[in-house]
Amino acid sequence: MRGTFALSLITVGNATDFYAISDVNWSVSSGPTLNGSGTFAAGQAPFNPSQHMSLDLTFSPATPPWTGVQHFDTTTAAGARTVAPPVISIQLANSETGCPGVRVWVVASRYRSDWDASGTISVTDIFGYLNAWFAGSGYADFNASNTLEVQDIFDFLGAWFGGI
Amino acid sequence: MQVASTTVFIKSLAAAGLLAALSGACGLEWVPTARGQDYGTGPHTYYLHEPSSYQQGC
Repeated sequence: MRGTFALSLITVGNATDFYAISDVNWSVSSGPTLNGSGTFAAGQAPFNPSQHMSLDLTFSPATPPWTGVQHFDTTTAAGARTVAPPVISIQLANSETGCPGVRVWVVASRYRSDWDASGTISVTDIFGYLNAWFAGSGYADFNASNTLEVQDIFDFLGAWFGGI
Repeated sequence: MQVASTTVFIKSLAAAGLLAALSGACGLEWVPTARGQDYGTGPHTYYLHEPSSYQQGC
């Protein structure tokens, strides 16, 4: 799964900050595109490690039985932060039982070329990307052309040098 | 929860100016830190990275 979303601060609480999520645009290889919006509640580091995300997503094309807007919530096991902000790693599901259901794992950084999702752009991202490219990973299709090609490397390096 | 109550306690001290008074008495300069906003104010575009995944079914 790949794509983007936007995160904006709504308000700062006593121990938890609340953010709005908008413009969710995720694509799944050989699967649907997910679009929508939601909220993200993040405990203030380092004292409060809790996190919770809620999303209302639509699948395109509609994927029965998940037609219409699907509500996703953080799974119980993902209620504690495992990575340092501003990187996000969180798992959500659209079903309490998980069966049948859809589960998504969101690992996101502010930089597209932050290949290891460390929160910063560094040389290790280049090595990580090249390893993925030579391994034939679908993630290495940086320009989303559905073909792994040398141009992907140049596009990745362009983003890396551009601080994107 | 103990962590949350400790956070509230420390913040109440800060709000009352007690932390500043205590640090001043010890010869230390009180520098308040930015509260929260660990993910910035935004809007920020976030990019999905490996191992982001999608799984449907049981």
